Amino acid sequence: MKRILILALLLAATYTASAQGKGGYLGHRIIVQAEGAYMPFNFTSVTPFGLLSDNRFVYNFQYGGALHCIISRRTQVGLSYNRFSMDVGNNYAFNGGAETYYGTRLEGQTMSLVFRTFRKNRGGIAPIGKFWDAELVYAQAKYKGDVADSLDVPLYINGATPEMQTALQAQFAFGTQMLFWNRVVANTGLRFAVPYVLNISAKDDPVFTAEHFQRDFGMRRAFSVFFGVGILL
Amino acid sequence: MINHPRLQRMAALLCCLFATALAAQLPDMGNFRRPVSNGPLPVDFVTPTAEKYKNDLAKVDKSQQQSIQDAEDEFYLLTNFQVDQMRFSGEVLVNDSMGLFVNQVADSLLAHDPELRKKLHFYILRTPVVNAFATDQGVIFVTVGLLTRVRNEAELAFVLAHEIIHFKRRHVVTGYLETEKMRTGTEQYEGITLNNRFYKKHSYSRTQETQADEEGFELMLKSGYDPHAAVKGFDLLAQADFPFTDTTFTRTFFEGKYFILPSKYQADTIKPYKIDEEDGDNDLATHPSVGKRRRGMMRKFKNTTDTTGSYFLVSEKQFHRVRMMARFEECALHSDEGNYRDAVYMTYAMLQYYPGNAYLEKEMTRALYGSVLDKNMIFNFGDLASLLGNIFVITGGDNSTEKPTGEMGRFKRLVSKTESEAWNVLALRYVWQIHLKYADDKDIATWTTGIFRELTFFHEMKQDDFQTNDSLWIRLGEIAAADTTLKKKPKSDSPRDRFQCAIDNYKLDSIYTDLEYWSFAFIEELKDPRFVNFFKKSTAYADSVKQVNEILDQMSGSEERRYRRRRKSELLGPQGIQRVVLIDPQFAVYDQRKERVPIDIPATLEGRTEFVDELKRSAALCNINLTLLDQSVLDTSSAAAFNDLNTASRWLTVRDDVKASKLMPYSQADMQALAKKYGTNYFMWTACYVYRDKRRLQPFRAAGAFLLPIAPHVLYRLFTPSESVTFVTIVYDVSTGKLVYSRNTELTNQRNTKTRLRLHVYDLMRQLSNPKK
Repeated sequence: MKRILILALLLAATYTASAQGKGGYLGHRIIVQAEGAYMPFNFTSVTPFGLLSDNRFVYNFQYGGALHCIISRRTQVGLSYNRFSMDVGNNYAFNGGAETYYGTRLEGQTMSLVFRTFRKNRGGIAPIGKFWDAELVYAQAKYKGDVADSLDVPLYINGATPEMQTALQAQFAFGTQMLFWNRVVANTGLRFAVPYVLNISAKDDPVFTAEHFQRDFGMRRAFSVFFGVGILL
Repeated sequence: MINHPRLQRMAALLCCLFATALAAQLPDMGNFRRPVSNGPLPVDFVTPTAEKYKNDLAKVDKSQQQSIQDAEDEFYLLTNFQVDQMRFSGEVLVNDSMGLFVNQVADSLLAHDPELRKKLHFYILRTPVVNAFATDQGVIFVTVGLLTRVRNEAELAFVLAHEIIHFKRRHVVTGYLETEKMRTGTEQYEGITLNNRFYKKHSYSRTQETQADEEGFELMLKSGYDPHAAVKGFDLLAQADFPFTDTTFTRTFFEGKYFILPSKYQADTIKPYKIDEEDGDNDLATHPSVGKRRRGMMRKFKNTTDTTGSYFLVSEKQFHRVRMMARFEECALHSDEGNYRDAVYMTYAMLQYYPGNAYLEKEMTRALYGSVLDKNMIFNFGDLASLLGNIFVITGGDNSTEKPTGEMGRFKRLVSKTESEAWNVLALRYVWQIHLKYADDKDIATWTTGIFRELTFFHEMKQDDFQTNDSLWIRLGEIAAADTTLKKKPKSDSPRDRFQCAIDNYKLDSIYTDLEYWSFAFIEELKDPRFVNFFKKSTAYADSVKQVNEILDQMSGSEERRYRRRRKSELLGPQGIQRVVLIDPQFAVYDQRKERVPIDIPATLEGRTEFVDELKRSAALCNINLTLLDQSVLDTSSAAAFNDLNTASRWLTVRDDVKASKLMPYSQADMQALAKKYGTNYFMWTACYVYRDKRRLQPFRAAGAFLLPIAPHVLYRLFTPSESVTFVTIVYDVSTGKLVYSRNTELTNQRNTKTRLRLHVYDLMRQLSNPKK
């Protein structure tokens, strides 16, 4: 990553845009950016003990990079790669006893294709202004159990489920993108994902089904706040 | 309100004097052209605003309270900015005939004080409003409206003397500082209520006016001008709302052998203009009442031993010529401002003294076309006022039963009562004659075509709707003459009087189907094949427009939406323009958080420079040959560029004001010349406005503070002002007067940054330069 950033900075310093036949910030441009997202809500998880709600502080995040290209006056398309880690731990209450928390996490990576449109009625012109985007995400995810889970952790974490889950998910976002010092691009916004995921590799498992994964993966990603910082080449 | 019969008599007398003076001393105006600037530009026109402001800062009195020092600083910034805005508004003339004469009068007035004279600059401001005002920078503006009304040099000298004293005594800056003291309740305003502070402040302002009157009078005495003019000069103020002439309008001006208007359309009697010279002062008035000022001057006059002097020191002949130039110019200014009825009346009045004058006839043609468009609007303001006047019995409405005021009131009553079809016909009758007289004049040809089109398209009139011989015209007269039941008989046995009697008593369409009095308007014209040809072309135009409208009506919803989108994209899409003239681009930062002056002038000046740089840079990137016409390209030797800037500014302003209308600005010929000079028909104006205000805390946003990742953003927004940006651009093809590109982008809640500015400017240039689809 460090090498990529250095290379990007070098390119930015030497690259001079020439006027193109299309609009945008002085023509067709490429953006290399680092990005991240925070998923603030932990939705109810399915456990072997039923549905339990969980209202504690969560630490769901993703980080990665993207390569975007301004292809027309108001359109930017990009390829994005991210790694994520989400809390899928739950509070369990056994026979009315004290609550116990298990810090299970769902980790993995996503690759996505982003189609970003700058909003005409808000005066957006790529790459500055208010935008909405649509994103098709291909994800690979894996449950990672807590050390403390050894006794009571649900069966699906201990190998009863496929090691790697794969999924497709559609996301939509509204945000704003800014440009500083002619080169530095920054964006932020709110992203909404369709909770439904097409679980490609879910096995026929009595305990763990595609529905469980959809709740753990899809619903946690249903709402997120994203941000990114990049360089305009 | 106190009535002064003596003053009313004086007003009537003055109106007669106006007319007599006008008739007695008529300068030759055969070659009149609208005034333009000449010679080298004064230094104050080419010095940047920031530099002038910096120089003025030395005047700040450091011994004052800090808040007053700040206010004075702000005053210099504000006035330098505003005066420069005015200088390049296209309304100011430099070294023109009228301005040179005003400067000569000022030379005579200040012959004894050359130092003071050097500090003063007098310019003409093109507006029909009667006014003159001084700035702290020594710039004194005199309006065209004022020049039309002064009766001699001495009256003009008194007005100038009054303004000179305002400058000499620094009334503008002290008045501003007084307002600041009043606002903050300091010094003499301490411990008194806000209302009383207002009264006290306005009393101070009236004291300044009295001082300017008195010392101005003394200045006049020293100069050798007749001090009687100082007393009589107040007539200018008392009559400022009246037209400069009270010429009787006779409807026969527009009538022809067969086209006659019903007599009832023109009021028989009128109320004379009445001057109200209130004795007392209004507590919230900035100036003392005219009566009080006149009496004050009379007291000064009584205490003066030597009251001899001359009404003319420079040249009486030149004075009359300058005043007539101003009157000619005022005719055009009314049309420029869209007051076509005023323009028709004023031009008519001037034509009484200069029959056949080419400028006036052309001006009358423009004003008539404008008034036809005005009448043909579904709700035009004049007729709407009449309608409301009738419904709510508002006195003074055009159609009210009350007598109209003044001759202009009589004329406006006639226009208002005349049906829009009849007015169209009437205008066409006049304009056609002018078109025949000046067959080579393209403007007149365009306006004639326009009036024809209004007739055939808006009123759906065809050639067959008009009579081609006078048999029916005579027959109607005979019917009226034979009718014994009529109370008003024909005045004589002439066919004209008989027809007049018929239209005064009958509704013609009740005698013959679809027959109106204006059906006889073109009996003679329809014998001319040129007129018939014009009529046929206009009918073909009307038919084609109707066909297009019918196709549009038959379109389905989606087809219509597609069509409208295409039409819209024509104005917003690529234009394929390679060369464009950019006229006076504007940049302003408005800050509503500032109580006194809601504009951030330093940011405005700095932003404007950046804006212009970006426009140039983006034009170069997009291969557009951009010619900039604004303050930054002027130097003392560029009067031609200044004139070009003024001409183009005025053209764009007038055209943009009346873009809904089909009327082209008068300076069309001048614009064509500019287009030829700069090698393009495309003239552009663009602006960027930034608005800052206090941020309103929205609960939804505040709730965002609980979302950890966006909390910094929410906190940032809580402590920064809200900012919105608007980019406006218009591009006209000046050869056709057509708006070819229009863009108005409002960026609500988005900050203006250098990159955003660059983005939008580049996008603008890219849109202009990309080939048309």
